[in-house]
Amino acid sequence: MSPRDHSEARLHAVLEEIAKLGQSDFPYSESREALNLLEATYEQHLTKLASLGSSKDPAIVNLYCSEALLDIFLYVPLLGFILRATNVRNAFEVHGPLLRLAKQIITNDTKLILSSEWDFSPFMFPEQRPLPNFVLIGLPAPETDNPLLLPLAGHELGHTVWQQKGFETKYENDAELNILDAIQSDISAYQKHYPNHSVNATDKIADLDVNIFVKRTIAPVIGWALARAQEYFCDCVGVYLFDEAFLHSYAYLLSPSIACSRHLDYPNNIARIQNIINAATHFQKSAPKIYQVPVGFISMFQDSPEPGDEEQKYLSALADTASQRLCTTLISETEKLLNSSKAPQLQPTIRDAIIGEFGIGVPAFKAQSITNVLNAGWTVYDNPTFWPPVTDKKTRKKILNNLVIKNIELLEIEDRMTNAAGHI
Amino acid sequence: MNAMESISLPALTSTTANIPRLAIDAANELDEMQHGRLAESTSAKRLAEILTHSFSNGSNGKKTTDVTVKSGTIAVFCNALENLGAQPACTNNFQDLTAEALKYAKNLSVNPSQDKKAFEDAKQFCIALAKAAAGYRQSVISAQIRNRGR
Repeated sequence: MSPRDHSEARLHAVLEEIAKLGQSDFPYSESREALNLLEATYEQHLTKLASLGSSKDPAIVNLYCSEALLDIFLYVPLLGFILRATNVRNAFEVHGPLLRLAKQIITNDTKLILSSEWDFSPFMFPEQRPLPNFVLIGLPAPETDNPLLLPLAGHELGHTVWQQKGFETKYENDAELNILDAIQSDISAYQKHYPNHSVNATDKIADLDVNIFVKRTIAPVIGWALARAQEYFCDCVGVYLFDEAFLHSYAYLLSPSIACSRHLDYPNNIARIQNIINAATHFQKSAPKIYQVPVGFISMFQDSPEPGDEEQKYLSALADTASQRLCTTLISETEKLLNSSKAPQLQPTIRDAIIGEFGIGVPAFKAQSITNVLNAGWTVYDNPTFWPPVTDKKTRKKILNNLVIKNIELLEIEDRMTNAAGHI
Repeated sequence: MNAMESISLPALTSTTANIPRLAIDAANELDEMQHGRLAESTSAKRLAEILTHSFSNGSNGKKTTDVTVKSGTIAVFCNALENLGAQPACTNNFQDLTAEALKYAKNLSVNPSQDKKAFEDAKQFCIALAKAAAGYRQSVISAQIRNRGR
């Protein structure tokens, strides 16, 4: 047996599993379409391996086998995701409104798959290669019946925007210059960690830029800086789209911090919250009545410990500096982009009207956007005496969740009726 | 100005550009050409364009707001040279490194009947580059925990 034999056997096994999954009942057509695209990806690997003659350089054959194995590791979890998206525990009511939002801010042919996942954090699959124009968002299973966390999907949509707009390439140069500038401003710190890198006390950015030791050292740091910049950008998207509700749902999920070291691809908590506040403050300039930041919001959070030894902490700090210097630009980029796509923003009068209807226990007509519904929901959530007879916190939460879900359903019905009327 | 100069190219470490796959395809197509089964390699040509464009700032001057050559590109290229085990692969001489990169880019366009050794070098370089660029991909574990909303 050779690695090639094993590789082909693995691909056949995955394809058989896809064929079985294809027999499922899918709630929307996107799931089947995604399955077909994944099937084609694995078929292509098999076709490629079959095309390699027996005299082919084994190094080349092995590289193709490794590529196929990588795609198995990367995309088999997507198959599980697609299967779980069929489960009745999913909140199918929110698919329509979120899809419309995704189409509005990404492209009109955006496809959305939502699934309740056994992972206590909303997430998205970042890979665009086999599934272009797809957004796959996982929502935490214990919170499936809690629509108030939907604003976090705004952050996840941001990841797709980041990829589709090619922001990694766009900001790569700036991230690297920021890192070189940070090194230049404290050369002795670099020399302390890397005394043999031919870095002199008087070196400027131009000198560091052609120092191969420095360049090789900072290559992974640029990756961290760009990953952190992406998180900052996605938070800005969440704030713009969902306003104060994004801040509340973020705090619900993550405050004060997770008791483990920070991940190097993420900013630490306080810097992240500061960026969220800065974004809200910036957006408020053109919309003074919205984007209010709850008093003491930042004090709800604390930083997670930095991982690694002193050298890694130094490199991580360089990535922090580089990514934080991009924040102002990213906030403006978000505003420009979402403003041009006419993304919905909070309408305080409609939110207040929805709150009024919630007061008598019914969903509101003409809510216009889930942003209005979710912000109404969070306003009620924060008011323990909203329904005076309902004193039990859990009961109040349950009533509120049901009302919000019903209002999102009503919003979808209204939208479909409007569209149907437009087609008559 | 050619079409590629008007856009910013990703570094060879880019998570969006699939450089490892391009380099493997180039190696495979060059191998096919070596055995007389293919007339030309579009992947090798594309890789040569990327290398030339990526390193051209190092020899032709640059805008003051741009880095000379992206760090990710330097890192992958140096790793590829080290994978090849060729000479003292990476010194700290930027001009030498740039010249070396442009030499490999040129070799990627060589026809096997013109220069067998340069052609074989180009194929081996593609294999080495594929491995080096893959080394800068996220591990599958990291890829699975990335893009959480946390």
